[in-house]
Amino acid sequence: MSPRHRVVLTAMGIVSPIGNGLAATVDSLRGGRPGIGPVTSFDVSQSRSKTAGLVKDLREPKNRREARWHRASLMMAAALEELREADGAFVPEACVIGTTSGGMTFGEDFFRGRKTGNGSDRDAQWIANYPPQKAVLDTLDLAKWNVPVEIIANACASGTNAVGRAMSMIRHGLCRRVLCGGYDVISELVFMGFDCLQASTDELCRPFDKDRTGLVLGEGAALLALENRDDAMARGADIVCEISGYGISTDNHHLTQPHPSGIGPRMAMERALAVAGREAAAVDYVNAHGTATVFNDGSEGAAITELCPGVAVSSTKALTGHTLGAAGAIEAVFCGLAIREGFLPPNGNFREADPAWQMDIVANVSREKALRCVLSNSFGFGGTNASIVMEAVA
Amino acid sequence: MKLEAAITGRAWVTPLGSDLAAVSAQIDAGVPGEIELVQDPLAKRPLRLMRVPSGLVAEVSRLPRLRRSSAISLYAVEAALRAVEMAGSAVGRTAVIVAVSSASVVYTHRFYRRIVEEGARGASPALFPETVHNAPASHVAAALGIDGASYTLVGDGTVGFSALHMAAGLLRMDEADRCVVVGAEEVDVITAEAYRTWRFGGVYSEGAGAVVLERAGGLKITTHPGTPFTTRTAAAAALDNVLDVMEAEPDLVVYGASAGEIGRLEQRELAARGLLGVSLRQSLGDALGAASLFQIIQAVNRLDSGKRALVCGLGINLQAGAAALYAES
Repeated sequence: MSPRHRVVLTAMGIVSPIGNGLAATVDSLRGGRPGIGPVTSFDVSQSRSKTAGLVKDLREPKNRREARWHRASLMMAAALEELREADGAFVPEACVIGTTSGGMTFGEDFFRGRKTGNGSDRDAQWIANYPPQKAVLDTLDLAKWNVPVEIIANACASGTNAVGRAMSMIRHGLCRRVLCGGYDVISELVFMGFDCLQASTDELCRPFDKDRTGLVLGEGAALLALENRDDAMARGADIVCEISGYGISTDNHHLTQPHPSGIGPRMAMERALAVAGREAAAVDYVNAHGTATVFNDGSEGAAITELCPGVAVSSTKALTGHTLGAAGAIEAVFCGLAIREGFLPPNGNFREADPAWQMDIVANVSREKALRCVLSNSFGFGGTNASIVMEAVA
Repeated sequence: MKLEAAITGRAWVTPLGSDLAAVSAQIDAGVPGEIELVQDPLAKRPLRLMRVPSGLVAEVSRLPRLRRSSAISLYAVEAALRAVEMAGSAVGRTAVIVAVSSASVVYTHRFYRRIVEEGARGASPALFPETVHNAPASHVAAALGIDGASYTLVGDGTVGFSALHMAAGLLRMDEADRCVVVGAEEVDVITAEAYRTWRFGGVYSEGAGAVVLERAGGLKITTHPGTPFTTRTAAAAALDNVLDVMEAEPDLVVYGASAGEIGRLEQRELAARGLLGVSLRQSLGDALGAASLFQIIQAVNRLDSGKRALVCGLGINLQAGAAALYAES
């Protein structure tokens, strides 16, 4: 049995539809301001959904090399710069990043070029940017960090898997410091995919609402600096919170639908709490996966109701859209901010509670509350489920 | 940080077949895989592909959950089930880790082609779920009845080494008692054309390799997390970094996950260390997501008791990776 070390979060960086940077993010979360707007980068005239959470005012390329970068690389670079500004002494030993579609927009461009006959062998640039690892390597290169990289593609759970995996590596002494996070960029293929499954809505995203009609997609990137707590304290690092638990489960019910009983989400949450050594009653707040689809919210709502009835719950996806592989990392940053600043992020566009569940939905308006123990959930296609426990440091 | 584990089961689905001994013997004899020359409107020149014979996955393709799945999932499930069969009954928690490079590219291509041709109304709900990178891992988990950890790792031809290292870590951290590690790839003209454009220079191939890792009980494996590089000039240093900490005097070396300039660089570096051994490329092509697992399995097939092997690779756009094997006397 390997030793157990406590793991803390010392710095974060974020780019999301509700703001670039932590300060803008806190303002938007406290004010319940959404970042959803019309999709203009491809034709959505025939699709059911026409909106998404889009990153605005993204940092410009700073040199010729960056000018060739993928949008995801620029998002990741912005997140990294903020993280390093907060903790310039953090140097990771490994990097774990979640994503679902990587540089899919480059793949789309390549295909269209070949299909129309307008492509050329210079299209190698597109392909160089297509692999999901490209944005990650660009980011690490900025900081001159030559460390082992794991790119986790566990669908929409990827970001939480990345944070949880990083936590586990430090907890068990495989590493002392790990950079983790997630990213995804809106692409036509993925947008049309959710649209054709009728998982996307043509109106507002209303997580956990009785009359919810589906999700709105989003994009963004977030990075988190995780470190062995003793090391962080010894160097006087600013500790945001502790990451104390991680649970993963697989629900083999269906490739795109969770088991309605909520068994998959429940196992992930129970396992995360067990690692943290916490009872469910200790949880002050759940940042839910909460995509606002009938099936996801049904399964997650049932699981939360069974595990910790009456707990404060919100899904921030009404504000950001569902940022897929980035979602878990973005929401881990939201939870870190909520713990540090003492508030509950709101569940936007909420009208009426579904009577099937006992949850205290943080409806539309943020609440001031000191938080000690928080669960953050992410669930994905393929029946993959992940939860992390984040706690205030006494 | 290197980690240790034991390989207790293995299986593969390759362009040369799926019988461990027969394919292994063909590789030793230098039997080349059959190269299919494909003309396609999307490709500016004929493409060279090496495919898995469809009959190898006929049985798993009849499983209800796999009736509409992409070829990569069929290869992954077939290899995983046979590797687990070799390892014997599971004790405790089993985790699944699937390494992919292009993932379910056949369905991705098909799905997007219809969007381009017909607009949103061409988007098929039957195809989209199978385009998700972790679809093969999901099918493997379902076939094995696993409700625990399931991961999909994405990378280049060395991603399988990363998956093996992750598995050894899960065992070390007591997060699993057994890990089924699968590396899988499926060929498609769009990916083949992309790699041709990128001057890849190889024969793009497909299949899956699977190994079962446990804490003890089989052939010992030492894993390495890999070293990334972003320029070709940094690739040699990355490979040096990996080789410096792995097996220094192996009895067997299985190298070569990639073709083209990076592959030649790998050969030069290994030759300079006196480590140039055997490559599977002539027989099995460049199978990217499956490549590292193919290498590992061939090394296990050929490792005599008391001997040591080094298995390594230099990927085309991510990292240098390696693992060392030791067959106890």
